[in-house]
Amino acid sequence: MKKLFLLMIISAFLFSCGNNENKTKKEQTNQVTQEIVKLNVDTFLTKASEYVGKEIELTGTVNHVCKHGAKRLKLMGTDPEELIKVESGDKIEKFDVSLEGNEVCVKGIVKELIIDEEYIAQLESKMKNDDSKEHADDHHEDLSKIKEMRAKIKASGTDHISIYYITDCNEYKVVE
Amino acid sequence: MKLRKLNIILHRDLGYFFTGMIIIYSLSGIALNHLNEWNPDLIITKQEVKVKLPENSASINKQDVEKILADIGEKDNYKKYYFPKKNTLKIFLKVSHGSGSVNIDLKTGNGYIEKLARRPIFNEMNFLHRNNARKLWTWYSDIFALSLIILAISGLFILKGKKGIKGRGAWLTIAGILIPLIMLLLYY
Repeated sequence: MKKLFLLMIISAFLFSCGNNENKTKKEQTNQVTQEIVKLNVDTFLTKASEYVGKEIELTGTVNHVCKHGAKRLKLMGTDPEELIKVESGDKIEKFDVSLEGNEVCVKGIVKELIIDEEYIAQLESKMKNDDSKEHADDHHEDLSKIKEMRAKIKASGTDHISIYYITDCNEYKVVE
Repeated sequence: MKLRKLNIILHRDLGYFFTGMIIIYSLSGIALNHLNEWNPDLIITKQEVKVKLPENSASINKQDVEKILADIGEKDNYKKYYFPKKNTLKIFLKVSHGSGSVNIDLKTGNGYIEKLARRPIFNEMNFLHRNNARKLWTWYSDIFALSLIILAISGLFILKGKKGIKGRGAWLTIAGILIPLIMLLLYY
């Protein structure tokens, strides 16, 4: 009798946990079915600040897939010098390098990176201490962009600039 | 069954079963350990080229690009082109299981073809080692890791006497633990 009573309590506990999980999943599903904004790179460059923290679909041409690990790629629009970084999420372990040159549509969360003098100083310090060639191509790019960042901050009239990128990309499709 | 006999059987059978996994993880481990020296996943080739530029290089179109590709032996590999900077033409190539591009200086006609292809065998082994597969592989590789611990501990008790854990085995085991500790002290 005691064992039966204990079993009933455990079952009741598990049942209530299951129900709570189902309720949470239903709430999440409701959130996901809200319409996801679709943008191209050119529009994103002008409106990214409105979507920070939100999931969007972004279409652009893949300019570059990171050669080390392939967890990042860069999308370009009509201006090849304005690139949007896309980081893969848990479901996409890495991007296929053959995507370079393809037009793709990625789905992910918009993030904002605030670049101020403190950030630039940390970046410089990190590059001085890191002699690894693992991301030599990225390091070279960072070095050439530091000067550009400082110039942009000065031109903005504020003490920082914002760079917007996509993270947690767990879905993408090749458009062309 | 005696404990010693069970230990030997366990060590033997786990050793046989995981031989393949040990080789995969060891080879990819060496590959991934030398990221400074090479790219373990991709073979990157770069070939310099000189192309004959169209008469009006300021208004290059798709036909001009395709002609450039034909001249450098990439006739059927056109994917897309654009101008990353003034006086620079970049053409994306279709490459089987990889990617490629041609970068041309529109003033001189000098340029290079860069191609990336998957490094056979290592690309697949690294995929497993990094747990890019996830899902069931996460569990299987965790089981493998636990089995390696069992292999290590069971191996300590295979031999008896002065060549076993009570003799030279003890010294070798201690040395094997001390080396990583010293490395941590030196480099961490």
